Amino acid sequence: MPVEDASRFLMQSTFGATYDDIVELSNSSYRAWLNRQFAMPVTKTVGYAESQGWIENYPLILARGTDSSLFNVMLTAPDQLRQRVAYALSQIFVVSREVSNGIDERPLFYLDYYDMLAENAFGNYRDLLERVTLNDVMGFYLTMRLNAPANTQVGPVGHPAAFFVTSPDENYAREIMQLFSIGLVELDIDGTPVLANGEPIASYTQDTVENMARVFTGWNYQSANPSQTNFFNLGIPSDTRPMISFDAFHDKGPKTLLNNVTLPANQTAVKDLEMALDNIFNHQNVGPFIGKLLIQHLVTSNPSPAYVERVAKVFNNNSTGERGDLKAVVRAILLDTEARNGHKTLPDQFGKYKEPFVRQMALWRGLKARRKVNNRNLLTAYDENFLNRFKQFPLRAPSVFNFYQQDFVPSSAFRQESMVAPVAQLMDTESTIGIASVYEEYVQRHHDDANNDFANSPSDLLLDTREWQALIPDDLSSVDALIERLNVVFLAGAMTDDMRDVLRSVHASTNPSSPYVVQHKWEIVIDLLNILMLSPQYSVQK
Amino acid sequence: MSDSKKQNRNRRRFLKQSLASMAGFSSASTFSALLNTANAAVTPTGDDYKTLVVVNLNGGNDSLNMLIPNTTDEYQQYRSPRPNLAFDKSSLLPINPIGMSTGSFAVNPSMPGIQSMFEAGDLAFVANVGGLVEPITKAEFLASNRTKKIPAGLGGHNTQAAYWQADHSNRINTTGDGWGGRMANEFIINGTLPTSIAINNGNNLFQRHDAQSFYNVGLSGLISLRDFSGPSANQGILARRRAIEALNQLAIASPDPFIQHAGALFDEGIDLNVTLQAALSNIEDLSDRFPSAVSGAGTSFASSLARAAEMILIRERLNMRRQVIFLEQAGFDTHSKQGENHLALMTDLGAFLAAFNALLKDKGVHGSVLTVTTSEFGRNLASNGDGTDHAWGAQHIVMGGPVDGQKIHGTFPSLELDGPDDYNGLGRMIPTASVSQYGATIAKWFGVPDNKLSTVFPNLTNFVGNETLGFLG
Repeated sequence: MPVEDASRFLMQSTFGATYDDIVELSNSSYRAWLNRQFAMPVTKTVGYAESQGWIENYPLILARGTDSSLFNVMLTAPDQLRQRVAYALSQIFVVSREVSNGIDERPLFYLDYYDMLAENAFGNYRDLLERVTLNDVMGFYLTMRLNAPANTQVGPVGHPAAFFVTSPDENYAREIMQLFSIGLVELDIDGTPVLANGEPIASYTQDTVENMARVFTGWNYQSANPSQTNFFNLGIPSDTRPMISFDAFHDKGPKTLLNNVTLPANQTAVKDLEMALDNIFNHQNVGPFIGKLLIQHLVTSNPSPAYVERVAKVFNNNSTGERGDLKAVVRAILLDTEARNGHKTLPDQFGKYKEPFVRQMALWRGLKARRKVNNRNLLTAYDENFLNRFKQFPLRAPSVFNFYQQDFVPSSAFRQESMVAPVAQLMDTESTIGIASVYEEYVQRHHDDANNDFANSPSDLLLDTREWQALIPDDLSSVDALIERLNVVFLAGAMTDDMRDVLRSVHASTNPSSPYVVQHKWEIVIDLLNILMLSPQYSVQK
Repeated sequence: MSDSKKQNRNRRRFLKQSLASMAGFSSASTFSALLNTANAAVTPTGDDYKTLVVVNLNGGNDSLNMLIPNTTDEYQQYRSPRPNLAFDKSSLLPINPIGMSTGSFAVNPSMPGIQSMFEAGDLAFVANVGGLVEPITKAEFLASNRTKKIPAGLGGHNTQAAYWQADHSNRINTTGDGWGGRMANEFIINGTLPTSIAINNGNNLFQRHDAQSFYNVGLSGLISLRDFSGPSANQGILARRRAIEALNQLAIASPDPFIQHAGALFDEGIDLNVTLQAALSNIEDLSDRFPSAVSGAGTSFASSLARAAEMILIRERLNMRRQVIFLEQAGFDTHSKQGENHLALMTDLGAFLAAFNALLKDKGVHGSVLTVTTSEFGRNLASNGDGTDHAWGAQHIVMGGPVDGQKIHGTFPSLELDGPDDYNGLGRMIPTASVSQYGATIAKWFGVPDNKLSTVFPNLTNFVGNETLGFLG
């Protein structure tokens, strides 16, 4: 395949590629690449934190150990496809460290959640849904943990003022349906709403939420050492074991769930939970809902209904009768004709904004970023300060609704074409400048120079320009090869002739009317990279 | 690409060129002002300055622990479904609403600032406001063949936030425009910033409007690009700047809506940055006018109010006779640990609003700034053990010189479980005042003519005769 096509595929399936990666795929096939990726062992963030000695010393690590572990694995792990899908899953099954309660000081808590997503990224959705549901960080984040039935006496033992639960907590019950599985309205297999008298049909009601809330009663952390009589032992989440059930604190009444499925009375908490997750899993919305979300995170914001339908059908049946096979879903998404050819067949509709965080990762990966010194903390406070301008960092969404909403429409031009651009919700007149300032800073100040010397960089993570410098002749008279390399690696071949002209016009050595004279190849590499990174064209993945 | 979008951009480019030789910071964006001229109705002049500050309580504020009935029977109705979350009667801070019996209501014990502003007439509450398409009774709501329309996605954070901010229909619709943007669009403002200013909240629905750009102000002040921070003699800077601007012009002309939009934002962001840099150059730092935060996101909230105050203080320099400012206090989704978390949120809300109010008085702009709260929904009265869940109607704060203060406007709901206002026995109150009416009251003060109120609030036609709620006199 052409290197441009290989580059596009790797934009969709990794955090960024080097030119070598692109050439390697170009000489292979998509299927072979996918199979190699599927077979790779999971690179775990917990493993990284352990290797740095951060787990046993965790009180000293605090938040940056978590950020640094996530960041390092995403940037350097060989199982890039799994990590990229896990990152997408972390934006669907959202937990966030942006909560104010002190548990942020336990890095394992969140790293384990992310690793769980990575481990299940190519497994079955039903298993993933259960692991998400019972994970202690999710139990904490969406408050299912310690959820108790109506009329339960609440309070630590010996609490002077006994009080009673009036109704169970509805938080997890609502969000597992709205955000993790079926969405707000009934969907056809192609992801479009089913209409009745021209109106969408709600996929659940407040009554469903209240019944589901009763399902999710009676669970607590293992590490809290609760008992059947002392459910409300608070404890702290400090290990990675799933929550366990306490039937004395489970609502035993019958429950009516989706599609009028009923759970009989007097079941255990475990039995109710299994049946409720089956009920959600088997809802007709899950395939198109989850399939479309993954397409939007990886490939294109506005997939055609036919594309969604093809993926949803694979979700419903992976061809050997299994429902929910995520490996098959990921393969179907990336090998679909629309993913591979949409830039030609649907030129104005195909594509998406690159997430600001992913854009930066692609710069570092594309230029083989490496460390100035062997500092174990790959992500310095300096870097973190800059990354805050993206308003996006793994596991730091402002709420369970993620960094942006999937139905975001940024302008009338999009609305008139019935198009959405979810990532654009992170882009406004201020953040656009803030994001650009990060790219400018990293490109202009965090690279090697003629002597491959990093001494003056304030950051630990540095761009290696050597193989890019080699594309420029010694007399600096042409930047064409450099421009073409930038085009392949960062634009998947989408550069127009007008853009090439602009890039050629910068330096006096390629444009006699330019007053800007430079002496070194690295200056030219850095300037053109800087200009391209700030360009609106680079913000889009086509 | 749509023709209208092209026109907008073209008009703006023309404007930039024609202003390029003019002095001062007026060479930047007057985009929104020009676009206004097609259909706007009102051109404020002279000293007619007005600023609306919307404080969105993100997550759904439990207003039942903010404004509390303080008479014996009503207090018991408040306390019994939430014994662990209710405040002891003796700890409440009583208030004396005009037209009601002395001490009949009270505010959260952590809100002495709210209590004193209420008593001083600087602040009022508006009772039981929520998203409504049309008035609806409990019987109508519960009818199996319901014919009255209600907002879709009742109880969902994003759907109800969208309803509060857009107020457009009963369909689930988190896109389109918001009533802040539509309100701004009723004015011709010949200023140099957009009328709509978001604080750390770019792309909120409230301010979105096709013909109104809005500017987002970051919490830590302006961020500049090294290559775009003023005049330079450095040929490298100039060459890069030329190239980046050239790529940006290619983007703006691109048929690809993604590339085009990114180009438009970049272009406008650079311009507005230049304008604000000049305007803010000698503004005093207002951050120390706000006390230390006690809630998780409180520091951001305080910074937001400080940034809002800065924007108000430069409004005359920039000829911004109307401003719609939107900011948020986050953290209100108190399903769990409500006891400590909500108390902290109320502490910060009360203290920071009081500081903001004092600051506006100090600067002599108190009479022309209105501050109001919004929130996607109230929370139910019943405790889930450790917190509360999503409900519907809620009490809201309105503050500032324009407010008919020391009053509880509207009808405070009955707190009887399964009573006349509670739709399912757990204390989810059916609103008796709509977002449309709440907003229309604000818009009327802002200067939107009566005959344009239903343009801004399409559902207002379902509330004929009660279009406004009177809390602004």
